[in-house]
Amino acid sequence: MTAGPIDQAAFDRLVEMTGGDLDFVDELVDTYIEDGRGQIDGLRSALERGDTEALVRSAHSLKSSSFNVGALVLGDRCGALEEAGRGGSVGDAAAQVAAIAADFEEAVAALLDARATRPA
Amino acid sequence: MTLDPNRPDAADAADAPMTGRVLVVDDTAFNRQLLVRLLRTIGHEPLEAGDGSAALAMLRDAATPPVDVILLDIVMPVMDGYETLAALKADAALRNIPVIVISGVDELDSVVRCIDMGAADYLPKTIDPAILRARISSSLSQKRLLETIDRQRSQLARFLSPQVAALVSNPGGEAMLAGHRREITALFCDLRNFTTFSETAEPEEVLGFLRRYHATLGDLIVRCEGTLEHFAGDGIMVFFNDPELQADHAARAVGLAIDIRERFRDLSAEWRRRGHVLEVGIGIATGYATMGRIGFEGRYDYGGVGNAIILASRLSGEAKAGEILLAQRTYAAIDETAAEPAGERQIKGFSRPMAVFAALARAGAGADSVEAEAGTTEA
Repeated sequence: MTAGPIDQAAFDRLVEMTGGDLDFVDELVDTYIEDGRGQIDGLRSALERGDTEALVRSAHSLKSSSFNVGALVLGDRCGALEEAGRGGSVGDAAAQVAAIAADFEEAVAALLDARATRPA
Repeated sequence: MTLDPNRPDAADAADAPMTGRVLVVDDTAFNRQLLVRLLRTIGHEPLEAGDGSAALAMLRDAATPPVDVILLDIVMPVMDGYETLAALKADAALRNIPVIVISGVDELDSVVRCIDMGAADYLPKTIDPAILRARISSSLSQKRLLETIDRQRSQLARFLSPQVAALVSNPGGEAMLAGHRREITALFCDLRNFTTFSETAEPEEVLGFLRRYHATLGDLIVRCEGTLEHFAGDGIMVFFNDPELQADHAARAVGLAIDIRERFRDLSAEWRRRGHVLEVGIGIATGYATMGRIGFEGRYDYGGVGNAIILASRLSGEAKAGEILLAQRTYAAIDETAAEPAGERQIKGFSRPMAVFAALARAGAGADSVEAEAGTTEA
């Protein structure tokens, strides 16, 4: 599971943090998805405008919530973009944003799948 | 988001030990939602804002209840964590609220910068409830301690002279309180005919008069930075050059006496119309005294023992209505045109007659001279 989009141990930590309240975890995941779509939009529009500062900020926000839901691969990718942006050399930003968007969709699918297949 | 209706309400939470109102400032809804939930679980009352300017607006809004701790994200749109922190620390009303910065492990440079700017602590972004609980609890207890010290200091300042309150609440003050030798100028002031007045006037009138008299004198004493030793009915005693050093202590004392005499003129004119003749008599003496804590465990005063203090008191008794009598050493320390010889007096308790001097009104002094004098006494 660790190799997948969602690290089970990290996700379990989130569940533990909420005191095992799965309804609340579902709400958090919904917020994560909604926030995340906003950040992806933010990344894309920053890319279009060539606004590195906004790019860094969106990557940063998506990174921290991704780590908290266990989307470690995505979080690391956001962190790399953030760091590159801060350093002033984003390189192929478009490819990185596309990879982040793809990772995000995978993470969302895994989160929703885990919810659907969860034993009641 | 579901709120647990069984949680204690805000007032209860604020009274409980080490729980408080915590403002979460983060642009990510996910982080806010998670932090708010965790804060509620550990008994705090969370508030939330999406960026720095929203947080500041909320904190400055009179409708927002007082916030005990702020959890602040660094990277935010509109107004980021640094700007917010700078604005908080520049605002006297908000500066004492502890700020805990939320930061990723890869952002330690930012944390250092925030702590330099006055942040109290930091929290890792990957939130650990135990660390959250401990950091908030430590910030809360630090804030409560500071509040207690502030409260005690302002309460002390209501009962003690500001200079003495500062001595009592500072670690270095103990040596001064234990006792020290110092050249001081002491001023005694009391009222002629006060006993007759208090016997013939209604008690409410007497108290009303004393209140105005004390308020008038208190204001003047604070302005010339004298140390008030006590108010006892109509009598007051003020020191200069202790505990704070004042090179011009004799001149300050004489300046205060002249101010008192002038202010008192208005006060006494009003009372004369009601049929009461009240006049002030002042004595001032300069000399060495032993200053410090006087009294016993449970009831201490800051006071002094020395001939100058006794002499000032006796000179105040000798002074006629409206007269300010100075001892020789006080006269020697001030501008010689400010006073004139007033003969030799045999002062009770002193073996030989001594020369005394009477302070004159200031040159060009009129009814409105008190304002102008403040400058000269504080030089």
